Amino acid sequence: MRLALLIPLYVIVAVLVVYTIRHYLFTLNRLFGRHRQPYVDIGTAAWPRVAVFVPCHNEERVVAHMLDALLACDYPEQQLVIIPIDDRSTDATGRIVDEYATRIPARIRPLHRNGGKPGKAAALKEASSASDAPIHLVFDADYLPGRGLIKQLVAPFFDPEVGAVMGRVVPMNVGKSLLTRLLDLERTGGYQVDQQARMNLDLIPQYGGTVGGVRRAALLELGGWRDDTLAEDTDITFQLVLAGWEVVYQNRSECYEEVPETWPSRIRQIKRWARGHNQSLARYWWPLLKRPAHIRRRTVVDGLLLLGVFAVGPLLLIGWGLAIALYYLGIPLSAGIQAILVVAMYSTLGNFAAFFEVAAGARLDGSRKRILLLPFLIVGFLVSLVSVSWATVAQVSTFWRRHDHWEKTERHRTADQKLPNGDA
Amino acid sequence: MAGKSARVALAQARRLEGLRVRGVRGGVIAPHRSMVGLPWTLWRLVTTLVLSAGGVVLVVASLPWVGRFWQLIFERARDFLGIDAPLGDQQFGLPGNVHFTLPFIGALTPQPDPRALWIAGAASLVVFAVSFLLPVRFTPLRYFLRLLALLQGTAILFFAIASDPFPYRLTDHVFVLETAGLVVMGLAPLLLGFTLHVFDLALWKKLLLTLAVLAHLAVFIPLQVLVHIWLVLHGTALVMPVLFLVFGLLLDVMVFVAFYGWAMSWRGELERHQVRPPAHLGRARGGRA
Repeated sequence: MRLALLIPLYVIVAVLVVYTIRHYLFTLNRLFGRHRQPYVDIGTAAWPRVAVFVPCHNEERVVAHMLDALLACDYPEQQLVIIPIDDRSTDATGRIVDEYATRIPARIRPLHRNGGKPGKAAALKEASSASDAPIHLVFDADYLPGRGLIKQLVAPFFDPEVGAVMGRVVPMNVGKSLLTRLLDLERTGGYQVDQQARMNLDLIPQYGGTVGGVRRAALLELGGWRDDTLAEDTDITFQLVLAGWEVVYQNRSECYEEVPETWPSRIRQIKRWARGHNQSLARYWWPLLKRPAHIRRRTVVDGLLLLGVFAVGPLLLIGWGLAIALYYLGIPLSAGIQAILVVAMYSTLGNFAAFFEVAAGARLDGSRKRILLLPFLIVGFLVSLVSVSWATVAQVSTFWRRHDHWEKTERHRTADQKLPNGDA
Repeated sequence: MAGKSARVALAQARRLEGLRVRGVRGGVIAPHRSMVGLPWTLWRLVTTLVLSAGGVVLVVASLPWVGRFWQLIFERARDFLGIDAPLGDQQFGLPGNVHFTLPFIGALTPQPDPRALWIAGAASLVVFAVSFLLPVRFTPLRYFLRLLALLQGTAILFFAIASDPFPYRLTDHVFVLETAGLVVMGLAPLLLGFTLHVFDLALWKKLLLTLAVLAHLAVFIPLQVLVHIWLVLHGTALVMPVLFLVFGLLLDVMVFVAFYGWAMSWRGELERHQVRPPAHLGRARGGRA
């Protein structure tokens, strides 16, 4: 009985140790490694035509801000088309984008979806055929790009091997609540440290789908956006990598977003991410493991770890369950002082890795005072752990039904709200 | 000749590097946060190694005093908490002829009777129900209370149906907490070595933080253990699982995290010595690009 519990527990601990090492490696690399930002200095070029897609479903509170910010960008006007995708909105979103299109018809060409499959992936799949521009950028409707952002995101595409580019997401409603402050810290760790370290180490920076874009030729080669996924971003990342395209992360290309301000909104968001990410895990772990010739071993390892990020939550809960069962069976103490040493060492070093990553990222950002909130991250961690595990269990239990319900993230901004200066 | 040209090239490169960060009137153009890294210096490397190794040596060397200090706290607290049980100590030895003792209170572990199980069950249900009544802005607290209630539920279930006796005595519980606490104390200087000392904080700050963490844990751990003892003596072994799994080692690690977060919020030497433009020129000229 005890052995039957111990073996899976050891396996889970081994997986968690690998993730711990990964946290430490990424953070130390970000702090002391050589930074790869090969395209950031391009300011003057023969800029290609770009289509900017903004999927919108009931975004009346934010869409005007987004369009204003895009129109203020310093990208050559004749080379830029903005395509707001009004995806079955029941509020004033459609009217707002139409007003913009009437005022500036050459630059804003809205697309209205009244039917079809709901969700961002399906909207992008349908809309991408509306433009033959060689570069397709995608922004979420609540994002605010700075003036230079489009050039920064397009510059990497001068490299013909680059299939997708991702910029950095920076929350702008940080001071609203404890949750927004914690999410700001999480984003800092995720982008400033994780993504940049992956870029430095030539691994797989993730195209995140909200501040970035893809090369149309690559998209066509892959057959376009998949609409049977909740995470079209993770999906396209792995499709591109498997097909031999490069994915680039631009830490300098900052775009400002509105993070969820309420816990229910956050829970819905992370559940959607978990389900989408797990779909990609199910789809791409084996093709990645088979390792096409152009992919290095370390890239495969990183890719598998990236795919498995949202599976760690349920795994951790299972590990806790096993540990509790073993506690009642009397395992740890009977194993003596070695067991205590191992458990104590793992609890200390293992649990601390994520805190180190976030603190290092915030310090690099110059946000020293925000690090005081570091212990409170455990609060967000608990909620995320439960939500992700719940989403995964629900996903597994409904696997055969293939029911993918898109949960939209609630917006908290008001249409007439004064916005911070978003110059990047 | 080749050596000379290399030296010239190096000097030129350094000059250019200097010009790249020179702002108006002596100000410094700080790099954008996306490009900031952490330059290593030999001094920082040496101090990191010395502080880490020195911290571990300090912890190991002070174990006999720590043990005696904990014994003293246990003696005082036993009277204060009204614990009617003898005080004992367990001897340990480490390589390097380090011997120390850890205190324990030789009280019997009270086992829950059916009445205690019913009371605990009802209390757990109340906690579980209350978690649903809290406003959504307290979602983390709601989750935490549910976790506690579920965990307590496993303990109730165990004592209600298990044929084997509960595998731990109170002295085991105390022993594990104390030993694990010492492991955290021993690891603290090492962990600070590669997560804090690598940053550009002043040496005295790093030293202060290391000593503060160790001192805090040295006081915190025996008090934590005493609270556990008091709760087990009053709440029976029924509360031991929750105390061990939620309020044991995890709490020690969170203490460490809190200190670490505090230290990471301190101003670094690079920032302190950064040449700032005169105030009347404003931040835009010499601040972050």
